[in-house]
Amino acid sequence: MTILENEVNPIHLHISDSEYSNSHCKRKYSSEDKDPSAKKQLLEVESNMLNGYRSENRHNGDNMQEAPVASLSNMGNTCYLNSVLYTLRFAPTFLHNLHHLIGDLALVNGRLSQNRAKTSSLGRNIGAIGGPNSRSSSSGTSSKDLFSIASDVVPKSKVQIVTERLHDLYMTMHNLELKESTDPYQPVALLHAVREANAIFEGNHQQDAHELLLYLLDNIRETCDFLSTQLQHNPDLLNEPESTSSSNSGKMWGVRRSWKKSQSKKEKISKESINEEIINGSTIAEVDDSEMNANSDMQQKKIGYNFLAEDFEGITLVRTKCLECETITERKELFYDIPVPIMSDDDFDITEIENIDPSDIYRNACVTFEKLCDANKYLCEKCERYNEANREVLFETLPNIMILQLKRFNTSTSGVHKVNTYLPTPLNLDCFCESCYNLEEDVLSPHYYRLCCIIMHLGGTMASGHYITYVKASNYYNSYHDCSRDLPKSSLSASCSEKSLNILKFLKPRAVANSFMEGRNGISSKSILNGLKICKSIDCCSVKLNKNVLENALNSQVKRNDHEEDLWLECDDESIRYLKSPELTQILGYKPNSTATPYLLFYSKINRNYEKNSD
Amino acid sequence: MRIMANLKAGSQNNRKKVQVSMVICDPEEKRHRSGVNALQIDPLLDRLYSAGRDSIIRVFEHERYFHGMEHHTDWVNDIVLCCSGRNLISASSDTTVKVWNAHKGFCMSTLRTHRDYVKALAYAKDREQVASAGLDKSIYLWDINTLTALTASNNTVTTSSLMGSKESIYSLAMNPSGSIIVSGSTEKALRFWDPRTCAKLFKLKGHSDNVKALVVNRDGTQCLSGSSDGTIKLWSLGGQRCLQTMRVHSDSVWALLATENFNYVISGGRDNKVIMTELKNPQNSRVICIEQAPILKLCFTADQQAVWVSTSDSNIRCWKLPTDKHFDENLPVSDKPISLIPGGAAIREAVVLNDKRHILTKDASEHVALYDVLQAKKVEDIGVANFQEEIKKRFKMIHIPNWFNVDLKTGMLTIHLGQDEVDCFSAWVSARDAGIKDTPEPDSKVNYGKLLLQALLEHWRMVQTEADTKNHFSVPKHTPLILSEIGGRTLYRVPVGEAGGETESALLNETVPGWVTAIVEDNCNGKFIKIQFYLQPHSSVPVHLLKQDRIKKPERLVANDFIQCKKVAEHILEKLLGDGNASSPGVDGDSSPPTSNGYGVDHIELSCNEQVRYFFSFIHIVEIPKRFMKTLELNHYKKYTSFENDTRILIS
Repeated sequence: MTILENEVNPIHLHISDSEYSNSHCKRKYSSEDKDPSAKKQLLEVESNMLNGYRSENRHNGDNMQEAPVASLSNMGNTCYLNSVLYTLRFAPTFLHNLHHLIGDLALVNGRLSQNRAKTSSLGRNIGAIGGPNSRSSSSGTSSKDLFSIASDVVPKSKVQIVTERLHDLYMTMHNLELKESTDPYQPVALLHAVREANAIFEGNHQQDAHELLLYLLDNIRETCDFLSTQLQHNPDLLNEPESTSSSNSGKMWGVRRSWKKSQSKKEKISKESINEEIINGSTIAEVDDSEMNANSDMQQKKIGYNFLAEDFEGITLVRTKCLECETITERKELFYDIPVPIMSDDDFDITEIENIDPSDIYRNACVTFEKLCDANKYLCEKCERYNEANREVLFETLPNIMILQLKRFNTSTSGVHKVNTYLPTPLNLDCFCESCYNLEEDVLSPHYYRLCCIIMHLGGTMASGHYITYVKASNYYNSYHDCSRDLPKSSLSASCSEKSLNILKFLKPRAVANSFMEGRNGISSKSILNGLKICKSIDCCSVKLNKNVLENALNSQVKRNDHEEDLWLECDDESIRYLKSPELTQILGYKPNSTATPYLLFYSKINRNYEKNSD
Repeated sequence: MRIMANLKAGSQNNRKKVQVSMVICDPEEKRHRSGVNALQIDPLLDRLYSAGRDSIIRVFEHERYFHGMEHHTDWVNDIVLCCSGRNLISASSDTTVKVWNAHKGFCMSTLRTHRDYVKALAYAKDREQVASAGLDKSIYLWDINTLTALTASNNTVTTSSLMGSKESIYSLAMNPSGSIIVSGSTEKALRFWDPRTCAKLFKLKGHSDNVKALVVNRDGTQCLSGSSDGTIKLWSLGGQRCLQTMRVHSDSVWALLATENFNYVISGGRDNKVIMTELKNPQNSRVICIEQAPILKLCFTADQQAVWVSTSDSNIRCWKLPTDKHFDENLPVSDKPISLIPGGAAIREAVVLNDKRHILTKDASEHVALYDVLQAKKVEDIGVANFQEEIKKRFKMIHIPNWFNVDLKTGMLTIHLGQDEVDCFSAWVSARDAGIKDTPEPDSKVNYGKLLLQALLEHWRMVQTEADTKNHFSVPKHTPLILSEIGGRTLYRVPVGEAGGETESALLNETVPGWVTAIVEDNCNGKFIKIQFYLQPHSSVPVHLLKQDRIKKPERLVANDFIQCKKVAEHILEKLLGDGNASSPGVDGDSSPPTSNGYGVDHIELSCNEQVRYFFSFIHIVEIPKRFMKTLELNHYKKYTSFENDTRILIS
């Protein structure tokens, strides 16, 4: 696909490397230097080079040969991009879901343009799409997208292109891994698409990885929304495959049955959502806009294909109790990431920190209680006056992949400055969602969170810093088992996955337009391997770990379920090396005056029951 | 504009922002408008005192309204009857504690020591001592004999404060001999002091939420507490431990009452129930009544055979208590109250109509009414009606800026005039629109804020205005005028009609802010800055419609800083469109005949800086708000010597 680019890359790279090694990188890494802590300290010493490129040694040395996965090269201040790309690639189930999103998108787009060719009454269709689209006001672009896509005058929205480029990139990386190529890849196409779509990423400046991450997630969400609105307002897209498949006599009954089944499931789901609202209505006096949005968002989520909603979106609950009438009002908000406040260096006490369970630190930082009193009283709508009130911020649901953003960058009048205070990064974190939070002390919560990715920020300021990523080395092979199209089985209610599975059945026979899927998607596309159904998308864009490298590295002592010996990857632009858990722990441990600090933490939800069963 | 400048200068001298407010109410509000927070009984005179959230303490003699005691400006949270019924002490959310002559019903003195809402009082009968506590975390002890001896000249009082509370106090209790005092707070613990020495004694933990009701027994050995966690706890103070936890309510416990011998506890809660429980045997409990709203206070009748129950709606009912016989033989209790003091309906919703003068309200009984702010009275009782429909019905095509805020915390309309976000002098209207007939000039303008302030302070200093500018509006003499710090404490409250009294007048001289004095004494109607502007035809207006000589050179126009759109429209018709015969299009809707080229002038659209400001037909009169002109002036006037109002006309 974009292999050409790939071949050009090394030239680029050598030029820039030599430039930078002359000007900035006075000190070179010795390839023998494998002690991570030593390396870390050196990184700190040489803050000038943090932002830039590695020395040639690094490239040509053994490390490069050993890299177990494909790498991305720095195109000048793009470590923020690379760190986010690595992270998403190794976020559990992300690739699998993205693949199906792109697949469905191509299918729907293909069919839409076909419909357009067939029918002359497209205008009415567009109206139907554009009219009740509740998203359009919030995002602004989505309604535009609908028009542009339906009319085919402008081929695709910028948002959609970014999502597609992201998938292309991961496909390319997969292919590179297949070929066991060690050349770093330049994510030029994606970067262009991102800059095209959002002006703030223009120019060769260092950017906030957090901002990019949220931007990419938002892009994907918008693409998901587009897809679900298309399916919602164009039932033709679903009906058509039925009619074509009915001509295919053999399949007819199977399809019919599934259609009915999906209908009843849909009804059930919509009923559930209505019930939920009534419950809300009776307990919640204050229905403000954000809540309305949240409700409508939740509904949309249920109809749609939004894997992002399942995996990355959580719901915060702001609960306010007037101390006079004791009426409780609740407001719900969706979030992608949880900001974790960090205390300033002055208040820091390492012995104190080490005596507290890290889970408690995060829970106390995220779940907050506040008393509204004195000059900051709460205007109670029932009492129609200002009263004292208790306000708590809780998490009704936490997503499957929880992103913690450590608030290391404080904006003050003198500009943005970084807080380097140490905060422990536990490998496992207790869940602090509302139901887990209220459990008795000795009761084990049904799930917990396990660290899967870290984006570290090195350096004193945002502009001069450098980002590197630590990811757990896994291709999340398990998530491709028993593919229920686009959602990970472990974390979903049966109805949801079945529903989407059924919808897929409709889509399947018409999978002509889809070049990725090559007709192998869906149920029929599952190959039977070792008695397990494996989704074919694993051959498209999944992570392909170089087994030899890994096994050599661990002296063949690793077993998949042995958590103690999890293997980690340190992804620092084009150089990728493996680490064992103890090494990572050492890196994450406390070092005085260190400016290498974890910035974004990704935790994946682990269901204790499921874990037990799978064992 | 000159007036505004004056006002700004005046407010400079008075940096502490003062807000002028008034309450629109009946001459005598005989019924409680909102919840009743506290009750006290005077057995000698058979009087019931009730403290209302509508800021009025009412006295009922033989269950009939006797008189109201008005001086607070916010919820009255607690009252205590002392000195054998001669005096009453009240605590209010206006942060004051007031001492009243209970028999005659006037306020003797006001204690302003608290810095936040005063929530609770406690009374030691044997020592004639009262304690007050509130959200400012502090408790003050007062000697009642000192308080009642206070006069205007002898106005200092010493208080002892009980320190140590870490959170807002919601309940307080003291035994009759004044040997122990207990507070309940959001700290969830009970704290004890010895009022004689002011020494902190101990605290008792056990509740898991706010403690809202407390009772101490006569000798100070036992204590009952009711909490928002839904439980009632009986504590032994000697043993410093909880003896009994009773969970008879399904929701928060807000009111407690114990029989003299501490055999039974009567409790009321958020679950609307009043329950009587035997302390020795908590399983033995009887529901006395189920009210229609959460129970706020309980009070024994003189014979202790029944209880008065007050709730967060305005009715006060009396319910018979079961006797020992009822308990022993499990006899049914009557489910009818033995008497009722009916309350009125609180205003729950208020919408300021867009003439910014009338307010449409809906009360707790769904009745809709129309109020006129300038006259401070109800002008129409609409009865049960569709609120939204009524609002729509009264919509007028007019824009007037907001000049006051409405507050419903007392269940009555409180109008606040301020100077910050909502400037009370921002509303200028033509005298004719304000309903003033005998204006000297046909086009004279009036300012709503000024009119109201003049009416409110009419009796103060007896400012005699000249005949031609005499007050066009007056407010009822009973209307309470309130001066307060913005968002904070009340400085002074006086009925409008009494403002002329000697002491009242003196106090007003101290508290009325300079900006008010300036406006009230200024008798001129205001001079307006003349603004130059141009009228230009909009690009969409066909050229042939316009008079040719006007196209070449736009005429410079001069007008007051706000003018009626009608005038502009007249001008356009006459001068620009050459439709000279339509001299008064506002009066005659059909007076815009189709011009020779077939265009009918139905609408004129005025736009300023590309934005369409007003779109109207001739029948409606719209005024360009001063505020809008002011911003234009700010933006352009200083930069350019000539002010350009890029007004265009559009013909459709």
